[in-house]
Amino acid sequence: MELVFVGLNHRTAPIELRDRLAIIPTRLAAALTDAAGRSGLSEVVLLSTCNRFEVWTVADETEVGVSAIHAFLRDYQHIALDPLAPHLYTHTEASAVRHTLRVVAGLDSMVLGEPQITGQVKEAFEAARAARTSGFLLERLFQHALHTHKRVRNETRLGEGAVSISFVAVELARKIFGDLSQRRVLVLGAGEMSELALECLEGAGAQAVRVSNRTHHKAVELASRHNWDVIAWEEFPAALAEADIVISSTGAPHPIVHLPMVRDAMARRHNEAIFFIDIATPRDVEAEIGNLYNVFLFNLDDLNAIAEENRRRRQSEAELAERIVEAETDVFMRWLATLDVKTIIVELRGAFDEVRGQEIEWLRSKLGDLPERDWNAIVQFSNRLTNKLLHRPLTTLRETASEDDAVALAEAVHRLFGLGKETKSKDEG
Amino acid sequence: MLEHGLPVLATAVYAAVSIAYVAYFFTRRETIGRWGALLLCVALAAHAFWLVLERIRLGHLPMVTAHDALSFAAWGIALAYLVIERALGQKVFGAFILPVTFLFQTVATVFLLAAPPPRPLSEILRSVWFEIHVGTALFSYCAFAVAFAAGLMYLLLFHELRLKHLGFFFDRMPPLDVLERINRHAIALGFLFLTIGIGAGVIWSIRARQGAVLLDAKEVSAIIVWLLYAANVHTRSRLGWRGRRTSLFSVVNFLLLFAVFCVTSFVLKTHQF
Repeated sequence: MELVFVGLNHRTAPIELRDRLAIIPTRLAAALTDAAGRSGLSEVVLLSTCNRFEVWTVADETEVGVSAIHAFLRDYQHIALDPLAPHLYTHTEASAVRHTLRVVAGLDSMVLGEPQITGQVKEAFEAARAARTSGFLLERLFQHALHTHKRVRNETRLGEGAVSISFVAVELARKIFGDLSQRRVLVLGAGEMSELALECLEGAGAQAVRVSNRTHHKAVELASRHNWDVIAWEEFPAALAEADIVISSTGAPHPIVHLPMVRDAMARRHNEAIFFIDIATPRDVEAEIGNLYNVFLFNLDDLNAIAEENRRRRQSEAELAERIVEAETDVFMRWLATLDVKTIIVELRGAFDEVRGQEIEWLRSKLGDLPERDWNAIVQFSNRLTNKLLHRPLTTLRETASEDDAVALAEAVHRLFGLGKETKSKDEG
Repeated sequence: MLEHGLPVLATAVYAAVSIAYVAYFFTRRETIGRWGALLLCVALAAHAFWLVLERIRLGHLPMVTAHDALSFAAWGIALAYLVIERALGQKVFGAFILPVTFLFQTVATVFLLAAPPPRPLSEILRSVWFEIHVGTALFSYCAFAVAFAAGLMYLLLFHELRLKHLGFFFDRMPPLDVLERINRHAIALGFLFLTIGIGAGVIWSIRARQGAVLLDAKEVSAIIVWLLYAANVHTRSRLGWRGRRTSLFSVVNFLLLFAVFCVTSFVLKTHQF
């Protein structure tokens, strides 16, 4: 029973290769069944996202597992192994555990601490459960990874602070206005950048959106894709009075939003706060506007600087998170070690022998002086009794050592007979 | 012993609550926040219990002496805070407002320990108008304290946003809009109650003094405070002051209010109670 993980991610493989390996959700069940049916593999979970492809298995032996996974990739995905191999990584034992914990905690992601990956791993396990290819060990590892993720989230600030300029803009808007659902958004310029920032704002709840572009039909095009309103370019200065958030990303060579324009708008909107997001280069909004009363102005440089600062902060939080992962890997490995059949047999025998010894001592104190011969018979009897009692369970343990449910059985024995109590109390302490 | 022991104990408890909430603000550890909230509830309940006992013992609410009034205000502020915490679902506000509670209770206790034993309540204070007067005035102080805390938080967050260097406060504070709304509502409510309080005071004073209107230092200061907050309300509704200006105004106003209250109550002692 070995954990054998093979995979590739955004760091080890180019996007073309990742795309070729990706499994669409509708075909996932079939792929799982195919992989789990290969000899040498007893549990399989497949994780396929745009940034990574992972095959997580429990195999009889490491070598057997790796070649079974390779064969699966080759046959099922129709990819020649030679060009693929240099991009693959293989993790076993502690390294496999550490890898899982890091992936689920978002430490292995392109954007450190991004939250989607946890959900994606959850889905991968649900799919494996549905296809009946996951088992006791991987499930236990997954639960442990979730627990570790929770610790990382509670004890570090790994996931905090937006690291893309669109989300920085959304965070700022939230910090200024709170609930965005009642806020009105005005978009100047119909470029890709404004669309991106807008989609983020919409995701955050902003609803009333108006678009204005120097070339009118482009504004109409953009607006029709999202069911937004369009206003004529000449009317946008007047519309400033009714907008709370203004996103500007025109290709104009000079600023298009001028100081008197905004001053006038502020007077008409009774100085209610307004937030300018200027993501154009060169800038669309005159810098002096940022000094006006109750006006918040952030340009591309400001947003980039904040995103960069957040990235740095996440980096330093990541070190903290790695330490948690390291500690939790140890915890899991210690638990895993207790499930080794040989260890369990020794421990079980030890536990029975201890009871036997204690009872012999008790009997000695009760019966007092008995002839040596009688004593030998009593000790012999006690030995025979424990051996007979243990015979069946120990044989079963040995026999099932290589079967699928060995780990579950080992865990059950462990709990039934209260083995490894000392290690356990040490863990908790 | 008991009448000195209890206020000291109350001060200690409010100190512990404040420390817990400030610690929560810095560390953002939920455990600390939960302990703080629990402690706050215990403190509020114990204080309320004491107020009820005093109401029964004295026949009126204990808010006649400056000490009692401040202590009552401390309780009122903490209660108002608890309502806000439940409404916002956030505990960060506590780091700013609960220290005000602690400050009130401390000043109250210090002056109680320094003051002569309480005199029996004079007959003219036994009036419904008097209770309305003091009760509403104290309630307005509570509201102004809330406005002060929200205003202070607004200024700190605003400053960070304007510097475009997001960090400590950005991570912790509720949005500017929320802070501004709390500030606005608190000032409006406080101003309304202050007006009622002063009105009730005037009516009671005319009745008690048989028509003679005397202006002592406390009455003058009450009018000054009323004017300050009237300006606070007016600049918002008429001059379109928003955000930073109204917040700053309410912070300064509250500091003045507190200073004026302390000077007239503990230094000049001109008011009859």
